Formats: sequence, C-alpha cells, structure tokens
Amino acid sequence: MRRERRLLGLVVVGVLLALPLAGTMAQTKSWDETIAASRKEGVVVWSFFGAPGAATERQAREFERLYGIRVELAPGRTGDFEARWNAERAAGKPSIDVRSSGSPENRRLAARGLDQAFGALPAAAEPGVPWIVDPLVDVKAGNGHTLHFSAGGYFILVNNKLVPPEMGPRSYKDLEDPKYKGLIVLSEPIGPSPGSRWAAYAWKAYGDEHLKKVIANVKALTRAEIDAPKQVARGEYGIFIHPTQVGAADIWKLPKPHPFRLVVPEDGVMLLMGGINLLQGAPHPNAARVFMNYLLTKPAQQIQADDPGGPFIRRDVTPSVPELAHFTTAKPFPNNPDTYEFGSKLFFEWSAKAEPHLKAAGLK
Amino acid sequence: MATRGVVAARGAPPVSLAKVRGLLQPASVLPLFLLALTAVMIVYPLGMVLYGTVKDGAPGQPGGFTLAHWRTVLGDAGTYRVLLNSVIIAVPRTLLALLLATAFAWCIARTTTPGKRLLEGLLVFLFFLPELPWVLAWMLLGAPSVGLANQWLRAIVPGVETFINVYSYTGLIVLGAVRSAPVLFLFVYPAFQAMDATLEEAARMAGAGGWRTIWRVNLPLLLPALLASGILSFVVAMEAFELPQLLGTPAKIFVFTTRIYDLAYGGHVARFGPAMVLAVLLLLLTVSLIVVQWRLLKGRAFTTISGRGYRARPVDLGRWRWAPFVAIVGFFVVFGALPFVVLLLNSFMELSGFLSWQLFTTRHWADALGRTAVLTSIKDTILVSVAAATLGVILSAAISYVVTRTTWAGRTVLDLVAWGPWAVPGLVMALGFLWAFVWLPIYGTPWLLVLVLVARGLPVGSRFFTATMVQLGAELEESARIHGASWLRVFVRIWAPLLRPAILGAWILLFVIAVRVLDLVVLLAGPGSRMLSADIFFWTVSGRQEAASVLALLQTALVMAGYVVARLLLGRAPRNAV
Repeated sequence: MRRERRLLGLVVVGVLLALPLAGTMAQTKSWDETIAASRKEGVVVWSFFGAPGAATERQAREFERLYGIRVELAPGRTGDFEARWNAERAAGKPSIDVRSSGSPENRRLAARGLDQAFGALPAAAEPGVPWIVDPLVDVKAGNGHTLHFSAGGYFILVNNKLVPPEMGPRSYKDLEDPKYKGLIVLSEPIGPSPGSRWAAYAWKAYGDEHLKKVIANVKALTRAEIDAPKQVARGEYGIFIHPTQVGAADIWKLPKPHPFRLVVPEDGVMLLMGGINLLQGAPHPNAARVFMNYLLTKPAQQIQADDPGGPFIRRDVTPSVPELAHFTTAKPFPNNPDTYEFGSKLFFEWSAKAEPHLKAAGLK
Repeated sequence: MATRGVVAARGAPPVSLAKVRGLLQPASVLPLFLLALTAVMIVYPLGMVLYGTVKDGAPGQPGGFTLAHWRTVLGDAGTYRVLLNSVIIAVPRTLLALLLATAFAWCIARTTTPGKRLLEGLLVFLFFLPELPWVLAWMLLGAPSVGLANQWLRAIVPGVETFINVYSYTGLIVLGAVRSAPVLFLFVYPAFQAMDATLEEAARMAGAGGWRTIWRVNLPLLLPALLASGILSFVVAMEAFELPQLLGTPAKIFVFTTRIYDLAYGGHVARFGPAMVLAVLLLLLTVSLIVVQWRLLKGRAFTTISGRGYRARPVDLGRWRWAPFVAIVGFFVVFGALPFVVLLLNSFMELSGFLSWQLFTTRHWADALGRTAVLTSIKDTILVSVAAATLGVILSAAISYVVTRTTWAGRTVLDLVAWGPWAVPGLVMALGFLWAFVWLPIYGTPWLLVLVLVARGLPVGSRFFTATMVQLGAELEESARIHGASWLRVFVRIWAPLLRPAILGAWILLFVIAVRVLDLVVLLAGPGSRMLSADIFFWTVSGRQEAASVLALLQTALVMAGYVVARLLLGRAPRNAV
C-alpha cells in the first residue's frame, strides 16, 4: 500500500513537472504554426507615429532577414492613421496590421475595442528579462491588448547662457518661479504632445495654481518639439518643457562643452511608454504577431537603444548615449501614473486643465 | 450627301441623323464629358466633405445625421477670430504678391530691361524651391536676435538686437507674398507678352501719359489675368498651412488652417466634422469671390491677338533700364539664393541649423543616395508627376476652351467646379479624396495619386489657359471653319500653336505642384507609391532636417530637370512661355 502510494506520488510529481514542459511544447508547436502561417502571409504593414527612423528601418530589414516576411512602413500622424484606417475599413479593405505610438493613442484604440488579442508571445514570457515596465501590464490587467515595447523619459532643457546653472531650475516645481518669466518655450499642450503630458502630470502633482504660475512664465508655445531643443541650444529660448530623449539626442551632436544642459528633475522623471496594437481586421494577423514578438527580443531592443536617445523597454541592452537613458534609474515623477486609465482617459482630462491658463496668458 | 441619300432611301428622316452626328461632334461631346469627369474628380470628393459636416462619425462608420459640428463651429468665438486673422494676413499678402508679380512681369515683358532670360529664369527658380525646407531656412535666418541674418546685420549695424523677426504678422505676410509672387508672375507674364503694343502707342498718340496709359490701357487688358491670379493667390493665402504653423504659432498667431489642423490632427481624437465645417466656410468664401470675378469681367472684351497680327514693342526705360535688373536680382538673392545656400549648407552639417566646420559631414548625401527607398521615391515622384502634369494640361486646356470659346449653357458651372480642389484647404480635401476614392480598385496604387494630383492642379491649369484664351480672337477659328476645317483640325492647327506657351507654362506649373504637393500625398500615398514630398515632411517633423535638406535639394533638381526637359521638348515655343 505504501509502495503504491509512493508510486502514485511519483506519478503525480512527474505529471506536475511535465505539465509546464508540455505547455511549453504546445506553445512552441503553436508558435511554430504561427510562424509558418505568417510566412504564407509574407508581409506585415506597420503604421507608426512620425517618420521612419534609423531604428524602424533597421528593425524592418532585420525582421525580413530573420523570417522572410516583408515589413511595409506606413508612417502617419494620429489623424492620418485614423482617417485612412477608418475609410479602408468602411470600404472593406483594411491594409494596416499594427499601429505603434505613444501609449495614450494605443490605449485609446484599446478602450474603443479597435484592437484584438495577439495571444501568447514567447519573447514576453522569456524568463529573467529585466523589463523597465512589464510589456503585458495592460493585457494582464484585462485592459485591452496594448503591447508595450518602449519606455522613454522627459528632461528639462536649459540654455547655459540665458539661464546659468546657479539660476536653476532643478525641478518642475522650480519652474513656477517668476525669475523664469519670458524664458520658457512650452510644447503646446495639444493632443498627445509632450506639453500635454507635462500639463497632466504637473496638474495632478501640484494643482491648478502651479500650472497657472508656470504658464505665466511661458514666452511661446511650440508644435515643433523636435526643433525646440535646437532653438534652446542656439539661444532663442532659455528653457524648454520638455524634450524627449530623441530630441535631446540631436543637440548632443554639438561640440562640447555644450551650450545647454539637460536637467533631470529632482521631483522625478515623467515616463512615456510606447505601445503597439494588433488592429481589428488586420489582413496579416500571424505576421503581425510574429513582428510584435520580434520587437520585444533583445536584438530588436538593442537596435532601438543604438539610436541615440532611442527608448527601449529591456534594461539588458546598452544605450549608445547613456546620459540620455537616465529613466532606467531615475526617480519617477510623483503619482507617475502611466496606467491604462491614465492613458485612455485621465491624460486627456488632466492635460485640458492647462487650457484656461493658456488662454488667460494670451498663448491661445 | 451620299449618306443622307442612303438613309432617306431607308425611310429614316435625314434630319435625325444630322442631329445625331451633330451631337457626336467633339465640340458637343466634350462639354458633357468634362462635366461628368469633373463631377467624379471634384464634386464627388467635395460632396464627401459636405457629407462629413453633417455626419456623426467618419463615412462608413456608425453615426447619424447631426448639425452639431455646424453649431460647434459657428457658436465658437474662436472661429471668427481665426477667420479675421487669416484675412488680415491674406489680403496684404495677396496685394503685395500681385504688385511684385505685375511689376516683374511688366519689366521683363514690356520694357528694355536687360538680361530678360536670366531674370525670368531666376523668378522661375524661386518657384521651384520647396516650401517646407524654405520656411525652415528662414527660421534659421530670421529668428529674433539669434537668426543668422540678424547676426550678420548686427555685425554691420551694432547696437540693434533684432532686425528681422519672421515670427510675426510681417513675417507671415512678406514671406507668404514672396512665395506667391513667382507663381503669379507665371500667370501675368504671358498676358503682358500677348498685349498689343499698338494700343499703348495709340494711347500715347492721343496724349495719354505713361501712368494714364497703364491705368486706362494695360490694366483693363490685364484684368482677367490679374483677377484670376489675385483670387487664386488669396485662396492660397487663406489655405496656407506650413507658414502659419511654423512661424505663426510661436507668435500666438492662429489662422483658419491651424485651427483646422488642431481639430483634425492635433486633438486627442480626430474631430473631422468641425474641421470640415471650417473648410466649407472657406469654400463659400471662394465661391463668392469667383462670382465677384464673373461680375467684374462680364460683358468686357480682352482680345489682343487677332487675325491681323500683333506687335509687342518694349517700352524704352533709357538709363533706368538697369534698375529693374538690379531689383529682381536683389529679390532673388535675398529670397532665393540665401535660403538655398542655407539649405545646401544644412545638408552638409551634422546638425541642422548649426553652421560650423566642426559639424561638416557628407554622410547625409551618402545615406540618401545609397538608400533604395529614396531612389524609389524619386522614380515614383517622376512617374506620377509627369503623368499628372500631362493629363492635367489636356484637361485644363479642354475646360478652358469650353468655358471661353463655346456658348454651352453649363460652362459657368464647369468653370466654378474647376476651382473646387483649391477652394478647400488641402488638409480637408485630402480626406474628401480619401473617402471618395477608397472604394476604387486604384486605391493604394500610384494611379490614385495621379488622379488626385490632376484634380488638384485643375484650378491652376484652367486659370492659366483661360487667361490666355480670352485674349485670342475668334476670327482665326471662324476662318478655318469656313474653309471646312474640322473641330480637331482647328484645335491642332490653330489653337495648339497659339497655346504652346500656355501649354509649356501650365505643364511646368502642374509638374512642380505635383512634385511638391504635400497634404494629399501624406494621406493618400500608400506603400505601393512613395513620394519625395512625403519623405521630406516625415523626415523634417521627426527631426532629420539635415537629411530632409538633401531630399529638398534633390526635389529642386527634379523640378528644374522637368523645366529643362519641357523647354527642350517644346523648344520652338515663343518667348512668352515660362
């Protein structure tokens, strides 16, 4: 009897041990089938915010080399993408498979049910990966199907001549000081701009009065966020709120000593996650899944990190300009809530708090 | 006669066949064909824009009828503010552009100014420079205090911090007028050349002075060209986007198009409905202007080329003949060569806007010329633009012919419809085209781009031909007809040679527009077709302005090559071609 029990115990233990292996094998088998199906599809259409950069083009080439699947790049602003995709769906011929952008846009897609489940991705389940943010944070919480594949951070950019180091600022809070009046250029809080992110976070952390005081110091709004760092470096403005790491990477090419400094705010870094969604009605869903999986792999992430200032989501890659990748160790901004609820709803509500102050200051 | 006999023998009334044959004549079929074609190409997309103003949601998406977009826009004080701002900028911009274009055209076409070919070439070159990089170059030159031009001027006149500030109303008006003037020059110049000098001489012999001759003879004869180009220029000024977006926004100057952009592209969610209402308001404004133009021109005769032959003897400026030469070359140096050099230097800098030997590099050129994608863009741009310009010329000439040379009852409608694609800002018209043509099998192919670029070029092409055709007398055509020439023979033997300068000018204009147009291409160019203009835009907005400068220079070279090839192909064209 005891022997039988022992035998039964061994069997149970064996089954329990074998289960994950069987699961992995089933997953592997299923993934192999996905890859085979994706090769038959032969192409994936990738829509993304902005222009094809060195990283996107390299990733597309590398993916094609690895899997023999062509990547068609379809750059477009949010409005371009929505107009085109809506019209194509209405005509019954959607052409886009995946859309990547800042997480607010992706989460709004998810909140409207315009994306679809992408299933299990082997790269997302790779053991021991030091993720900056869990790529499946939304999926696991049941909040749509956004896959996060990058995490970037913002700085405050300061011109050394117009605003010498002893003058500050050291934090976002400092920016309300009247000594900065007429020195600040602010990314216009409109849509998913960096200025909107600043307004949303700053309002949540410091309230209405803070927004009012900072906006009173603003000299001009800009919609050319990529150009603004150069304007600060040239001395057109003293302070820019606020550059992304990519924008700052541009002026990093200037000969040293730099005429500017990047201030990592003492009250914390505002994060921006980048997401990608598999769209409803995607014509090449298997190729899209394989591509999404590829974006999480270390080689694809290293390509992103090789781009100066390029955001990535794995800490086990080496950024080409470490000074621009501070977000991996920096303190997050208070109530740094880059959550699904924030991205899909609160971001837009909170950033709108800046509107009356902008109007009162004659900036809109 | 024999046919009639056969038909009569079969018992059919001969008059019916004559009627049918009459209806099948090109002169009868052409207007109906053009009306049908423009209805598909222009009215249908415009209809989609109108539909978008009363629909809750994008076409094809769930949603019902609503007037909410109209209420939102008309109830918003901001609408009237941006409308006023737009008019405040567009009116002086148009007047200044017209003044410059007319002065340049008069000097080159009607006076003894030396170096006419050179001056003409310099003005045409200005038109070739792509807008977006040109504006960026001016941001580098004319930024207050730190702009390169301000730094140079400060070295000459110390003590003044800012001489030029492009972020201002003045900046928007002057730079806008400078962009428009070369285009208007291309409109006004042929009209000046076609003007019969005997009329001026007759006025002088009757005792009229120089100014009185200009006022009483030249201006009335130029009225069609001036009005058409003035309205075109005003509409372009009202729907200009790059300039107010880049130079106006930092100066807190918001206009109609930046508001449309905010609604359609800048918000958290694309609000196409209100954006389309604003576009329709602009459409109504344009239609009103065209009606005014009709009323002003009604009942007037502008014929200066007739069967008697004509002379175009230049006005002798005496010792002042070098003054216009210096003025035009100076204009070119400041507004053409300077930004062009900045653009060129930019393309060799590691970082755009910082001109320094330490930052010199050739890698942007090597990178651009070594990329398959760029070469594909160049190839697609050439194919699409040549096709669009050629088809556009044929269609424009046909429309202008029907409008100016026939008594067909629907000709005014045709004339009005041809304005459509420019009466609505490109940002919104692109949506109309998208929603209208997404159903077609050519969607996603270069042919869709050809179709929309032909439509986009029609207002310019047809204005160009119309301005020339109203100056041509009817007796040449009538004489040929009396001698038994068919409609086609008349067109080929009489019209084509007389219109050759206009054909060349219109082709170049439409080619340049097709190469440079951005708003339509950004939305409609699919993976199957790449265009340089979209690449320049995306590279610029993503901060790769150095590489964008390379593409902009390649684009400039492309339009210049198109210009040279067109001139070679139509090399025997008279001097009044561009």
